[in-house]
Amino acid sequence: MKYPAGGFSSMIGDLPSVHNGTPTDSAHAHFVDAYTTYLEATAKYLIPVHIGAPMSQIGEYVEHILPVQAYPGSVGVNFLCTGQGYILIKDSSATYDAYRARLDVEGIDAGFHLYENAEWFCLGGALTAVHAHDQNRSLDVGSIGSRIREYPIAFRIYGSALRVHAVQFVINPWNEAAGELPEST
Amino acid sequence: MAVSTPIAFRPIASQAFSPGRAIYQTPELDLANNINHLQGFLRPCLVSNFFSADAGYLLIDYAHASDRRVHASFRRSMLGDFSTVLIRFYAMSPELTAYPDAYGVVRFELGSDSSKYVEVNIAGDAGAWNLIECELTVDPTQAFDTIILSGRIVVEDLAIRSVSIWPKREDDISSAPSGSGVVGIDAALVTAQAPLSTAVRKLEIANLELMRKKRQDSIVTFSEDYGVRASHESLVTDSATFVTVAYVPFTAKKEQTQIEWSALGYYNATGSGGTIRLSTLYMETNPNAENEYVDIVLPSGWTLGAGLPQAWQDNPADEVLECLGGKAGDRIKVQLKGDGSKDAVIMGLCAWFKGIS
Repeated sequence: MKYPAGGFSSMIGDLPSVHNGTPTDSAHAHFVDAYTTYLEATAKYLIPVHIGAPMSQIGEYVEHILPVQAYPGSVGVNFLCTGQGYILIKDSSATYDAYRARLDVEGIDAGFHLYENAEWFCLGGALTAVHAHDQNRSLDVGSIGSRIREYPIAFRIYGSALRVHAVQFVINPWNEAAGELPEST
Repeated sequence: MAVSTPIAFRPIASQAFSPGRAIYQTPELDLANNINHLQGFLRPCLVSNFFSADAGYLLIDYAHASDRRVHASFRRSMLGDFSTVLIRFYAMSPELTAYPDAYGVVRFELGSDSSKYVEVNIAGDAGAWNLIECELTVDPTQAFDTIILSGRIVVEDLAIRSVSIWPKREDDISSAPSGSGVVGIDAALVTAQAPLSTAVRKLEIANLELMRKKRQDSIVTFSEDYGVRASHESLVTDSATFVTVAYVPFTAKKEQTQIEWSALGYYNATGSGGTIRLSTLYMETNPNAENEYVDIVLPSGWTLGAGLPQAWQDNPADEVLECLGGKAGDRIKVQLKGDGSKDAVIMGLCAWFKGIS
C-alpha cells in the first residue's frame, strides 16, 4: 500500500480463505498488501523499558542506540521522574536532527525521591518546522525516504538543588502520521 | 534454494489489485519481495539497557586485570529465524590514553555454548563515549538463552554506559521452512503462473502470520552491573513485606496474551528469605487469570568471578504473566522483599511477549 495501514490491526485474526476457484483474488491480494505494509510501516517495535538506578547526577549523560523500524515519523522519550529541573535530549550523531529537545520536569518529592511518587514526563509531538534548540518536541528522523535502521539518542540531566531523579525511561519511535510511503532503501 | 531478502520495501499502488482487472506480474513480484524483505528486516529489539548504579556506568577495573569477570547478562528466547545478533555498546576509557600499548577487553558470550563468543579490544580514548559494534553467533533453537558480558583490563578502568542487541538480517533465506516456519518466496513461483496459484497466496499469508506471531518484542531487559558495590544496587530491599521497586508499562498487540520472564538475583544471607513478585494489572484484577502473581524465591549469596554468580530463573510453563492483547495501559509490577534485616536484590530482569500459537 502507498499509505500506512492504520486500521489493519483490527483485521488481524480474520484471515481470508483462499482456495481454488475463489472469485475474490483481488481481496486476497489487497489483504496481503495491507498486512505487509502494516508490519513494515505501522506496527512498531516495542523498545524495552529502562529500569534500575535513577539518573540523578547533575549533568549525568547517557548515550544509547536503538533499532528503529521503517518509516518512523519521530522519536519520543518519556521519563519517570521525581524532583525538579530539566532533561536535554538529542540525536547524538546529529545526523537526523541537529537540535536539542528539552523536557522540563516539575516533579514532587524532591527531597526523598520515593518511587511511588514519581510521575511520567513526556516529550511533546514532533514539530513540522524546527528552528531552535530546547523545544519540547519529539526528535526528528529526517526524510522517511532514507530508511533509518538505528537511531542514536543521548540525554543529559539538569537540575537545581532539588535535582531530577529519572527513574525509568521509555523510547518511542512514532509512526509517520500521513503521506505517501516512498520506497525504503 | 536460497531467496534473497531485498533491501528495499516497495509500496504498491492499490489499483494494482483492483477488482475486475488482471493482476500483473510486477505487483505480484513486488508483493512477494516485500514479504521476503520483512523476513530480513522485521527484527525486534532483544536487549536495551543502560547502567546507572553506583559510578553511573558499568565499570571494568584493573584490580582484576588477570582474571576476566562477568559484569552483566541478559536472557530471553531467541528468534528462530536469526543466527546472528548485532551488539552495540558505548564505552570509554580516558585514562588508558597514557598507556598506548594497553587495551581493555570486552567479551559477549552465549550462555548455552561458551564456544560462541566475541571479544572486542578497546583502546584508550580521551574523547566522549565511543560506539562499539560487534556481532555474536547465537543458537536460534534455544527457548531461553543468556548473553553474558564480561571483561578485563590491565591498567586503568574501562566504562560501559549502555548496551543494545538486536538480530542481524540474513542476506539469504531458504525456500524451505525456517526456524519459525517462514518460507522464502521464490520469484519463479510468482512469475511462472498467472494468475497466482492459491498455494502461493496461502503461503504469503502464512508467512505474514508467522512473522507477526513469532517475532516478539522485549518489554524489559534489565541487568545490574555485577561489580557495583554491595548496598549500592538499585533494586534492593530488606523489608519483610513486599515493596514495589518498578512498574514496567507495556502495550500488548492483538493476540499477545502471555509474557515470558527470566529473573536473576540473590538473598544476602543463607536460606531463602528473598522473593521477587511479578504481576500485571490484568492478573491482579481479572478473575479469569490463572495466577494473581508469580513469586520467584531468590538463591542465597553472590560471588563475582568468571561465571554467572547465580543462575537465571526462567518462568515455568504455567507461570507466565498474563495480559489482555490489543489493549494499552497495562504494566508489570515488580515487587521485592527480604526478611526484615537482610537484603533481597534483583540483578537482572527480562520479560518479553511469548510467541502466539
